[in-house]
Amino acid sequence: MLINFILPILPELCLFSSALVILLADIFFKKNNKEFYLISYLIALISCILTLYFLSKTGFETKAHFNKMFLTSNFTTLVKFVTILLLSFILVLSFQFFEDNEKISSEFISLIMISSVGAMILISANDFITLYLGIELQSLPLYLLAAINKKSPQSSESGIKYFVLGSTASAILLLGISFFYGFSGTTNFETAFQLYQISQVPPALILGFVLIIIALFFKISAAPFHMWAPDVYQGSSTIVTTFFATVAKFSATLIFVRIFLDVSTGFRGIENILMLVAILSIGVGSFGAIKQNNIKRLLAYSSIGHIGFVILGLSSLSLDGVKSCVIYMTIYSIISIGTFGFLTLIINITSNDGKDFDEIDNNIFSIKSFAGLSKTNPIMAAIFACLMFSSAGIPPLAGFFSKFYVIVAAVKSGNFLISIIAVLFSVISAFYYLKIVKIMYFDEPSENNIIFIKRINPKIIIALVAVFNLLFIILLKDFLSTISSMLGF
Amino acid sequence: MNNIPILSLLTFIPIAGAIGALFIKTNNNKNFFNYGLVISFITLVISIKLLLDFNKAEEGFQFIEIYRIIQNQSFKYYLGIDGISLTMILLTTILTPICFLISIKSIKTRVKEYIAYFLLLEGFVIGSFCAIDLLLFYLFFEIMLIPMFLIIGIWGGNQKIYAAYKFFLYTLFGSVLFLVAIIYIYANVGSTDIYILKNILPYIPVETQKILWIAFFVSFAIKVPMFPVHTWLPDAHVQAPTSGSVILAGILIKLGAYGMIRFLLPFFPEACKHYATFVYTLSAIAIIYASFVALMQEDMKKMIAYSSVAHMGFVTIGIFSFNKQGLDGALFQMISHGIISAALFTCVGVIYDRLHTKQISELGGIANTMPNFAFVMMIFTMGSVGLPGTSGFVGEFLSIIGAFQANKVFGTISAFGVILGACYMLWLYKRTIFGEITNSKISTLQDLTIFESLSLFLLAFLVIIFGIIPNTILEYFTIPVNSLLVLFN
Repeated sequence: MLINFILPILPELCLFSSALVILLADIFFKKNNKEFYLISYLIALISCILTLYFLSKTGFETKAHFNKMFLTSNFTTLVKFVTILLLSFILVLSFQFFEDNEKISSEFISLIMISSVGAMILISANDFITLYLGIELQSLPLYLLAAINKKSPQSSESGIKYFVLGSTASAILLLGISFFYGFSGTTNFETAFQLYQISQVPPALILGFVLIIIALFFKISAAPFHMWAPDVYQGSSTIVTTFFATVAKFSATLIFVRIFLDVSTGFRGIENILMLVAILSIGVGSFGAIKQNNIKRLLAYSSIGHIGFVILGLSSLSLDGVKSCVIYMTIYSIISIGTFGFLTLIINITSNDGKDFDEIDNNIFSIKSFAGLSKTNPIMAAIFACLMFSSAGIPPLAGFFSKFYVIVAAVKSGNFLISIIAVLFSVISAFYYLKIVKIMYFDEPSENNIIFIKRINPKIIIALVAVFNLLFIILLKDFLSTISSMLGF
Repeated sequence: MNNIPILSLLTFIPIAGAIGALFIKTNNNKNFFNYGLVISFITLVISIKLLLDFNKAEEGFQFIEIYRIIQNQSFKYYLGIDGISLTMILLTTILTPICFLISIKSIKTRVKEYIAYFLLLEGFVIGSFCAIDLLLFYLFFEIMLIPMFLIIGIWGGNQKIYAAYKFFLYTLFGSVLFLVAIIYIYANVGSTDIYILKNILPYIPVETQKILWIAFFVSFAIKVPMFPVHTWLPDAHVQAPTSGSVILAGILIKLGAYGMIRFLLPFFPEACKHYATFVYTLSAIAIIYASFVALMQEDMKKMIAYSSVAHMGFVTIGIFSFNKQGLDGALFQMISHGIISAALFTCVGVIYDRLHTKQISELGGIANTMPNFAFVMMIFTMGSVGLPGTSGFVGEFLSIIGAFQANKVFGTISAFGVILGACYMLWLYKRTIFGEITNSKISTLQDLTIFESLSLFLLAFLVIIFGIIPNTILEYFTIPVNSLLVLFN
C-alpha cells in the first residue's frame, strides 16, 4: 500500500535520501578523507542511476497525485530525465574539483542533489503551493552553493546578493499566489484551468498571475529581472555556475512552460508580456555581453539572451512553441555543460600563494587569458570554438536548430516582425562569440595563459558535447521524434 | 554506375580531407600542401567525371540524391545539379588547387589549418551549389562563413581582425533575414523543396512575395555585393591572404548571384518584375560608382576589389533583364569574372610575395624583369577590360545587350562602365608593368616560379578559350535559362 502511495515521488525520494546519507556520513567519517570522498561520489552517481530507473518505471501517464498537488506525465518525466542526466554530468565534472578542500565536496554533492530534488518537485507542481515548495527547495541550496567558496569574498557577496534578491522574488511569488487564491478560490492548476475555460477572468487574478510570472522571470534571469545573474555567475565557483546554468535554469524554465500550458490558456494578452520580456532579454543578452571581459560574466549575459529565445518560443502559446521551448532548453543545457564545464577545467595554479583569491580568479577568467589557445592547446580550442559557434546559432550545429524551431513557432503564430528583431539581435550576439574565437585563434599566446587540469573524465564529457553539436544534424531525426513522442504531440 | 552518390562524394571528400588533415603529423609544410593538392585534385577529377556524364539536353536537375532527415517534416538532404550549378562546381574545383599552388611560397605558418580550412570551404561551396532544398542551401551558405572568417583572420594583413568581423557580420546580417524568410515559407507552405516551391510560391499574393523577395534579396545582395552593401568587400579583399581573395572573388561572391538565379527569379517572378528598376538602379550605381572609386585607388588589391563590385553589377543587371541574352550574359560573366578576378588577385599576390607592397606608386617597370608575368597579366587585364576574344567580352557584351533590351537608359549607363573599366585597368597596367624602374628592388625580381606559371597560364588559357568559343559554357545554360524565361513571358 505504502509503496503505491509513494510511487509517484519515488525518484525524488531516492535522490533526496541519498543526499541526506551523504550529508550525515560526512559528519561521521570526515576523518579519513580520501576514501570517503570517493564513496560519496559513488553513492551520488548510483542514486542518479536509480532515480533514472525509477523514473522509467513511474509516470508515463498523465495523472495527478496527492490531492492533485503533484502531476506526473510524459512531459514531467522527460524533464526530470534530462535534469538527472545533467546532474550526473555535473557530478562527473565536479569530481576532484574541490580537491584541496574535500570537506566542501560532500556538502557540494548533497546540496546540488537536494536542489535537483527541488527542481524535480517544481516541474511536477500541479498547484501553486507545490510550485512554491519546489522553488524554495531548489533555491535555498543555490544560495548556499553561490557562497560555497569561502576563500573568495566575491563568492560570499554573490551568495548574499542572490539570497536577498531571490527571497524578494519568492515574496513576490507568494503575493501573486495570494492574489490568485483570493480571486479564484483555488491554487490548483487544473481547477483554475477548468474554471476559466467557462467563466470571465477577473483583472486582479491577472495581476496575481503576472506577479507569479515576474517571480519566475527572476528565477530564470530574464530581462528586466536579470541583474543578479552576471554577478552570481562571476562570483560563484565555476562548477556551481555550471549547475546554475543547467539544472537550475532548465527546470525553472520548463515549469514556466507548464504553467502556460496548464493554467493560463484562457488569459488573453499574456503573450504580449512574454514577447516584451523575450525581446528585452535577447537585447540585453546581445548588447550586455559585448563589453564584458570576464568570460563567466559574458556567458551569463549570453544565457540571458538564450532565455529570451525560449520565452519567444513560448510566446506563440502554441504546441509548436512548447516543443520549441523544450528543444531549445535541452540543447542549450547541453551546450552549457560544455561551455561552463570547459571553464571548470581551468586551474587556478597560483591560488595557494596567499595573494588575493578574487584578483587571480578574475585574471584567469578574463577572456584575454584565452589568447592563442589554438596554438597551445588546439583540441580544446577547437572544442570551445565549436561550442561558441553553436551558441551563436551557426548551422548546422545544434544551436542553430534550437533557434530555428523557435523562429518557426513564432512565424507560424504570425509574429513575423518579432522574429526579425530576434534574429537581428542574434547577429549582434554573434559578435562576442566571434570575439572569443578571435582571441583563441588570431591572437598570440601571452604569459598568463590558462592552464588545464590533466584529468580525463571532464574532458571526455566536453568532447562529447562538442561531438553532439557537430553531429546534431544526423541525430536531429531521432532527437525530434523522442521529444515529440514524450510530449505527446 | 548511377548508384554512386557522386554529388555527395564531391561535397564530402574535401570535408573529410579537411578532417583528415588534422591527423597528419609532419613538420614539413610541403607535405601538407601535397596532401591538399591531392585531395583537391581528386575532387577536380570527380567533377570532370560529372561534366562528362552530364546530359546537356535534359530538363531539370540531374544526379539527384535524396535522403529524408526528418520524417513527416519536409527538411531533406536533397542534392541535384543543372547546367548552372555544374559550371559553378567546376569553377570551384579548378580554383581550389590553384589556391594551394599559389600559396606554397607565401604561407609559412599554421599550414595544417590552412589546408583544412580551404578544403572545408571547397566542400561547403560545392554543397551549396548542389543543394536543391532551400534549408540545405542555407546550411551550406552560412557555415562557409566560419572557414572564410578564420582564413582572413589568421593569415590576413594588418587589419585582418576588423576585416574578418566585417565580412562575418555583414553576411550573417543578410542571411538571418534569409532564414526568417525560409522559415516563413516553411511555416506556410510546409516544404523547403525547390521543386515544390517553384510550383507554389509564384502564385502566392504579390504583397507577400514582395516582402519575402526583400528578405532574400538583402542576403544575396550583401553576398554579391551590390551597392550600398558592398563595403565589406574591399576590406575583406585587401586584408585576406592572396588565396583567400582568389576564393572570395572567384567563388563566394558568385553565390549571391547564383542565389538570385536559383531562388529569386523562379520563386517570386512578380516581385522580381516589380523591383527590377530598383535593381537596375543599384547595379548601374555599382558599375559607375565602383569604377570611379577603383580609378582613385592607391592599392592594387583594393582597385581590383572595386572592379569586382563593378563587374558584379553587370551580373545583377543581366539577371534582372529577364531575357535570354541578359541571363546568359550574367551567368557567363559569373564564370568569366570568377576566373579573371581570381587570376588578377593571384597576380597581385605574385608581386606582393616578392616586394611586400601592393602600393601602385611603389611599382613600375616590372615588364623589364618579369616578362612572363607581364604577358599573362596583360591577358587578364584585357579580359577584365572586356576585349573581344577574351571571356570578359562575352559576359559584358551579352549582359549589356540584355539590359539594353529591358531598359534602354540603364543599358546605356552600364555600357559606360566598360569604358571606365578600360580606364582603370589599363592605367593600372601602365603604372605597374610599363615605365621606368623606380624601385631598386624591382630590378632584382625573379620571374614566375613553376607553380605560379602553371596556375596563371591555365587560367589565361581558360580566359581565351571561353572568349573564342563561348558556346563551350553557354550551351550548358540553354535549358535552365529557357525554363526560367517561361515564367517571364
